Amino acid sequence: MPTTTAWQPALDRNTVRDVLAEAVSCGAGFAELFLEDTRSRRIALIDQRIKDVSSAHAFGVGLRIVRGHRATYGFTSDTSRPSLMALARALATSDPGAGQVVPAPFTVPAIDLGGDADWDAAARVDLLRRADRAARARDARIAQVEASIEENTQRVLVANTEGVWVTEARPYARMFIQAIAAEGGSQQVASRSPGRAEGATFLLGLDVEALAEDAAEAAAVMLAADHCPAGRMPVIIDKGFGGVIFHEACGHLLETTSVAPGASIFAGRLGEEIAHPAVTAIDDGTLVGEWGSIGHDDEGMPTQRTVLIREGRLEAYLADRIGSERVGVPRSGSGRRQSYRFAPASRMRNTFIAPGDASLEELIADVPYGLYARRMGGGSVVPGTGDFNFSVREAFIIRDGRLAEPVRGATLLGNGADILKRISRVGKDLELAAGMCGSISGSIPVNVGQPPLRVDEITVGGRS
Amino acid sequence: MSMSPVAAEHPWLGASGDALVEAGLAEARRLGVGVEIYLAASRSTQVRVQEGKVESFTVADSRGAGVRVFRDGRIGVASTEVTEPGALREAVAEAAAITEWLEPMAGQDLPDITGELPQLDLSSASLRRVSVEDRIARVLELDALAREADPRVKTVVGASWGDVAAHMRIVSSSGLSRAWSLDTAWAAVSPLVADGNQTKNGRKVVAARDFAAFVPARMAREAVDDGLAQLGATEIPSGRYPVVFAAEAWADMLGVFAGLFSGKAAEEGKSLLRGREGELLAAPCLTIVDDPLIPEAMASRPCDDEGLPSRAHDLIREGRLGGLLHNVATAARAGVRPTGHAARASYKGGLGVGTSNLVVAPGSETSAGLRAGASVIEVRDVTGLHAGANAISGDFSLQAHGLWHREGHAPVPIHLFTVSGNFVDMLAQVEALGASTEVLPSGIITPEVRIATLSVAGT
Repeated sequence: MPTTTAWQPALDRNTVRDVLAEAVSCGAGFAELFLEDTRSRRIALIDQRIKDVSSAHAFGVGLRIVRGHRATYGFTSDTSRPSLMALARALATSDPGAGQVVPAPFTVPAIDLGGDADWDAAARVDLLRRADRAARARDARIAQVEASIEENTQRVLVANTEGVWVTEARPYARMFIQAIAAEGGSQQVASRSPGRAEGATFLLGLDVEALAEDAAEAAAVMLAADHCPAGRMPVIIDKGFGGVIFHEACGHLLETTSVAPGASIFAGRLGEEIAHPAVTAIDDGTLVGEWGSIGHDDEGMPTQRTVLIREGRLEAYLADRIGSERVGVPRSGSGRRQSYRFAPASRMRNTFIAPGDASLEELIADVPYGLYARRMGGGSVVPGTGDFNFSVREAFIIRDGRLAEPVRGATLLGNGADILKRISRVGKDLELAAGMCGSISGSIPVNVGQPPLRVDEITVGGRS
Repeated sequence: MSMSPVAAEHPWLGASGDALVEAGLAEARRLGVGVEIYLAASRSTQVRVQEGKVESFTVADSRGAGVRVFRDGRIGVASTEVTEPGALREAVAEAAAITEWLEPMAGQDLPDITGELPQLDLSSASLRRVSVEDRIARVLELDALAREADPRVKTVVGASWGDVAAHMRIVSSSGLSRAWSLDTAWAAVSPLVADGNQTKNGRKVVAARDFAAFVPARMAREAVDDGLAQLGATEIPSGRYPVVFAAEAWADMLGVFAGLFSGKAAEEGKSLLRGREGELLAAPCLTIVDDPLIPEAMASRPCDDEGLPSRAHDLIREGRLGGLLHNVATAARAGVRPTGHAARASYKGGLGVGTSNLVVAPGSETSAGLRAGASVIEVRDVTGLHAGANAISGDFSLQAHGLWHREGHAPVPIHLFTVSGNFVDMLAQVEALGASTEVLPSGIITPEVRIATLSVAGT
């Protein structure tokens, strides 16, 4: 891939040092500057036409002052020295205190941040058209195919009064394929959307036909599906995006953002058995090229692999700088933010349940009557209580240990603390799935994941 | 051109914005293409309070420019947050280069938009007069009052304030020049209440342009009451019930399915309402109007994101589907007049179609009358909308909490049930509407709505 111009942060060390010094001039203990320069491109097909191509350049600086457990944050895309000095002064004077910190000198490592590679539109148009053709060829009832590719490279500088100077380039690429099947007055949708943090090489290696056919088949199958019966039953949740339940109903409650104010049911429970011994759960930012991986977090700390739950026992929380102080746990290298418009917070990276030993067939074979949740949709959780609600996009009834008819409109209702104790068996085939996670510091790329697993009993919402 | 009194306060609406616009227009002339330049600039503050202390305070100076370049029926799109004329030139050149990859479509020439903007002042003198200290003081008070409101309040998960003064400007090479400003503020409080058996989240959100609308005592009381009303909740047997949606829950439903009225979704085969204009598909008691011209509503605007003057539009009139919503391009392809509903999510990305304020006309039923019957479910809140509601199929299956009304019994709080159905089918099942309406933070104005029957799954 040809590299054109090497990237340099738009601010020099002297300016950054002066801005940080100004920010702590009224007595704050810590200040941090985050500069972001992100180039994005999107290309999309619908109605068998290339309909949208767009490019975006995000650019700006976020400045944070921390005093005790309190953060004062400001951002601007006017990164001139007078503008940044004025912002630093405004933040400093908005929250004056005693004491004075002298910014430590920066340690500036040499890192190649790459340049903007040529963007070959023709190759992407070809991928989109192949997806469209494959989905339509799979089933005559496919009425619409939408496919798009989103790519961006986020380049960041994190500098703080403790001498941190970290620069990093994060290349992301993701493809979306959505098939709509229509018959009579009914429409059903299915989509596939793989993504990795390794740029274009990932896209060009995708088996788009397999993805598109999979989406088309799922949409067509759901056309024939009847409404899901409601009730309490065992559920086998398949690998990959099934991990969204752990992410939403447990992962968020292990972030210090909810632990610190006592808003999490898992607050104060380190060392306790909170899950079935079959459950080991990990949040790992170090997996090379994975969608939720980073080199350093957005507070400039090298990222880590964090075992959250080991064989049922709660081992760690996800902590950013302020959260680590508030809760009294170590930082986990997972202080993240969407952009310079957000102060960082404790966030997930690649979160998954570690593999066990069963095959999917074995898990299903053990169920006399229940639900097989092949693809989960999204969901929501009430933070204080852990009550959750997830939609199942593609589901089948299990009867006598075998898959029976497809059903639609199923939701899984439960509670985060409760479901962890009811995961009694975990399969061996771990898969991660890309998603965007929205929370207090914006929308960030994360992987959810798990092997197929069995939940002994859960309330399935459907149509009675 | 309509300028609100604050307009000149932001540099982007004055000389420094002019320099950006001029650079973009000049580059388009040089390349021989048409261009539309959309500038958005805002200043905002946000305060979050926890446990009686300011946990975070944010001041933001946000700026961005989006350009759409028109060449032979193709529209290339680019945006930048670099606030220099050179960046605008680069964005126009980029958008022009992008057009090469697009396929031409009808209706995609640079529109020639004319017409006076309606008088609509969405700026707020009262908000701009309030000092930062006073804004913070109000959130601290909100947090404190919520914590003290009742012994069953365990903690306040968050009390927050946000305000934004936004300025938009659209200029095109066909001579269009619009500018308008918009002030908005919101406050939210979410207490956690517990009674030993159950923990519930209460919530109150207020959005307004008038600082006097933020009354901490009332907000705290309503949020805590919202939580307390859920304590002691039981589960209910599954079945089909008449369902009353509280205004907020009905607004949430409308908001999620508003995309069904989009002419763009229809053209893309993503709306069940495609080709059904003029059909009697809802109950005759139901009228829904999209009205961008209500000064106190949050989704108001003098013009749409293409610069077309705003006006009200009937979505459903006495049960009959009106015309779908359109921007210039989708209207041209559908062979209708644009309705002034061009919408962009921000200065980034392309142009779509979107609603403004959705106004559901009130009926005549009293609050008690709506809830009358042998066994009626009142839905006070639905959750999981982004997952349990499918805007394409119209299907929804949503977790809810609320109250169970039975003749001769006191109402009982209920939770952990799902209501499900299909949105379009449900519109035909609207049985009665309340006589008074609520203006909600989302820009939706609606009474309570009773549905004849919906599927409810409990235990």
